[in-house]
Amino acid sequence: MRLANLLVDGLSLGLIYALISIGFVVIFRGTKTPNFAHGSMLVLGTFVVASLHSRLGFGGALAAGILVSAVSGLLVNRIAMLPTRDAGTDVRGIITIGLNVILTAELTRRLGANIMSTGAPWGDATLSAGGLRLPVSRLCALLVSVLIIGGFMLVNRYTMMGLSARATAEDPEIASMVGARLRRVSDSAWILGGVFAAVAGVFLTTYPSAGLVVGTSEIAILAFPAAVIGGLDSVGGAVAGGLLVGLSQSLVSGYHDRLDFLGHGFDTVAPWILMVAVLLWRPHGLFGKRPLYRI
Amino acid sequence: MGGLLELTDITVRYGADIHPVRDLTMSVQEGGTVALVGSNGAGKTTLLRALSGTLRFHRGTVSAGGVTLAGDRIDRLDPAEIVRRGIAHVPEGRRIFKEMTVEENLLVGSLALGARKDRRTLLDEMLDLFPVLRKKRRTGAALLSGGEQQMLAIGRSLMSRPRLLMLDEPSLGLAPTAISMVGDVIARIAERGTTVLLAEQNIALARRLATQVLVLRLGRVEWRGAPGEMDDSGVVRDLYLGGTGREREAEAGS
Amino acid sequence: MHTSPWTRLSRHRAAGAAALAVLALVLLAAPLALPDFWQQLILFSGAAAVGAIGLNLLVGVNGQLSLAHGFFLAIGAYGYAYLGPGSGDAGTSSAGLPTPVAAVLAVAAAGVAGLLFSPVAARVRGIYLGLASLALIMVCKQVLADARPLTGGAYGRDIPEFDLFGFHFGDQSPYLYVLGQPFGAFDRLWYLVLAVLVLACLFMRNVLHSRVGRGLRTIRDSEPAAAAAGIHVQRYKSLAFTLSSVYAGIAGVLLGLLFQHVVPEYFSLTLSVQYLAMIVIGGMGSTRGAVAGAFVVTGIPLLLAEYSEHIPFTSTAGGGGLDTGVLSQFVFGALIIVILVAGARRPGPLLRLRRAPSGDPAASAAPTPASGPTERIRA
Repeated sequence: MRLANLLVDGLSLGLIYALISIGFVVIFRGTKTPNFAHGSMLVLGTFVVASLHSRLGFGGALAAGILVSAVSGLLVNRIAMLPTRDAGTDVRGIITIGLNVILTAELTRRLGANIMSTGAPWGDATLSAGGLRLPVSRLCALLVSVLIIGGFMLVNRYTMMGLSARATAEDPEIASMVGARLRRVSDSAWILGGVFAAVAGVFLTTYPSAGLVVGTSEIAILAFPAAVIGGLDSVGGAVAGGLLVGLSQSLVSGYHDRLDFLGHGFDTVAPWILMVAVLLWRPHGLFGKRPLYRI
Repeated sequence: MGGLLELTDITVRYGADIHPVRDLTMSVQEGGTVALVGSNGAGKTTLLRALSGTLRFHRGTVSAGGVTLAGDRIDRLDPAEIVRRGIAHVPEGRRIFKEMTVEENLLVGSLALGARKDRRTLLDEMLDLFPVLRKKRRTGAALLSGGEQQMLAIGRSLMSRPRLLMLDEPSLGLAPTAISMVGDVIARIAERGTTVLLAEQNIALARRLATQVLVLRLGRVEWRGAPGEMDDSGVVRDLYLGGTGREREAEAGS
Repeated sequence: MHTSPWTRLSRHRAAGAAALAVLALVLLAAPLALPDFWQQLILFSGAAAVGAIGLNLLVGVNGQLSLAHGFFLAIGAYGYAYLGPGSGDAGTSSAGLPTPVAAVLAVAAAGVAGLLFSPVAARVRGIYLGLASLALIMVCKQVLADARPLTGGAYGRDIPEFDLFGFHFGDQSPYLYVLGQPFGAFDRLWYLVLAVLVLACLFMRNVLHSRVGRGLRTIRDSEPAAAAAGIHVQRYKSLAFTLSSVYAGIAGVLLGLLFQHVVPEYFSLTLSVQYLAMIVIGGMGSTRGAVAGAFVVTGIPLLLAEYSEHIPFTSTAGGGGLDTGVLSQFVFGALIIVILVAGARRPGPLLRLRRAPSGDPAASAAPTPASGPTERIRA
């Protein structure tokens, strides 16, 4: 029973990670930039929701959080990414590190030692079904994630916009030569990344934690190993990686009494170790398709 | 003067002081087929990149001169805009999207047309033009042969309904039957009224298709004229053997 | 009067040598005259500068993005603490070696750690490497907090005083007075840090000017071109990682001596990012720039805190205004962004971290613009 609960827990957590991770991968595919500020962008979106829910209600606050995330993604792209599109990936990565420094400093200052609830209406309600404990929050997360991820994959595969994004991800030069507009593709990548992060952030802070805390971003950046394990340029890989990370976290913390020798908080380190192990076996991640740079 | 495409004193710069193209002036008349001939390093690829706006991807820039398409300056536009204006570039090495199917490769070529309801119809017309692609429309593009990939690359560019189609060494790496097939396709495209600019090392193919030939050497135009005039001028001999034809003749005392 | 170029050159040289001599005298006499605040600022900056020089070799010159620098700094500091004589911390063990030996071994350990990580760098390229190095820092934090006998856990460890042939770099043994002033720990460490920094700079300068330095730069600009030129890419990259870790280890020991106590919290991702900021702000690829960057990044928070009464809206911890520590972070983040975005408008050294991905190899008949006779060696 314990195992079954842990598996359900891990899978639903994994889908949340998958959502964050897809955002990270979409930004990477669209703009060849690893967004080291992804964790703090998640916190930003969640912070907006947590700050406004008493005034606007949860729905209004959620909309505001999504809007803020979308706009900040757009701003990052216009101000820092597009002007540096001819510089290497590493340069843009370092720029996002700089952004992360600013965002983290400000958000930490505002959060302090507080725990901010996002006002989600389902709270910490739990359903019981045949011995399985199903937190409503995770059930919602599961549903919403499946819808968003599924919708995204359909758009990616079957629409012209998706085709344009896939072409840009594979070969930006040729994509532009057939008419793909870099600005449009990169804008949507950053907007989507921000929005997915905000939504995932709300789910991340509803259960089992009581709300948004300073430490949330450290959990959020577990999306990085998830994305890398799956392969930075693979959307399907992001989902697989997210599930893997969620499961491993759940199992490690679930069995922590047997794993005590590994130390406190090993469940947040385990995904990183798993990431390095996968990279040593497959340097482009499990489903990564192409080398990072051509000759 | 007054051609569809006019290049005036174009100079391209890579890095600090590398100039693969210098002070190049040329004109392409509407409906014609112009061949750029020359060996590696002559500047053919660089010139095509300058025209399609993709120099940026190779750390290059047009440092002097201008390019006009039907009178409008295009040398500072980005590639997507240039395609929209009607110049399509089939790059060297085919560069099809290996992660997509044949059909998807063709569809993506129509991005430049913007939102369309008749995209599927356009796709259908293109598959009529390339029956071998119709058969393999749902195949992954990576599985095609070299000749088929070249067809796909050309078809992809044609999907944007260009006024001017530029091809960079379409015969490179192809078997003779495939080259012949590609030549037929280009001839047919030209017949339908599309202006063609063809960069080729394969002189036979260039002569077969072109209405005008420009010989490039070290970034400059060394000779221009009709294909028929090439033999008399000794240009063909130079291209195969190197050196200036006139020098050789002087040496030989003829 | 027309002076020959040779005369001008030797006048230049003479002027340069004179300036250097004056600078040396100033630096040697400084502890006697400088107020404590400035002395400490320069000391901490100098120690950090050694680490920055190392990171510059790895990231700026060789183009391998690493976020694990804090990890190697930790090995230096904690290694020295563990290998040296015990300092009476409850629950921690020590190897009890004499401090110079402990210092050297700690630095060597950092180097070995770098060497051990380089096969990962071999297998895993570009941004995947940056992310793998992130993993290293995450693991580091965990280990530092957990391995209590080694690290003192969350409380950290005291750092043993450095002791060279009986001369203690602390406040006593011997009690010293120079010109009527007590000559204490920071005064003594001044000369140690200065000497180490100068040696570190000179050594790096030699490396960068040598064939090795050229090889590392070529690898950054284009690995296949380097391989084609006969450079053993793997070995060079390993060397860069190892040497960079050695420098980090040295900086770790020095910082430990200055702080006199280390805690795991210090050796976080934030620390690695700070060193990255140092080399970005100073200009990537340049040793001088790394040193300058170290002074900027170390100095700004200290200066802001010291003078916060004069800066509107700010205050130090607990006060009503914007905390100067937070303000420092804003400044660093903004500097990184502005410098890199502005730098992208002009092609130059900043961009050479890695060349932008270009297209099909067959199509790239264009010569590589970054390397070649136009590139100057910067040290």
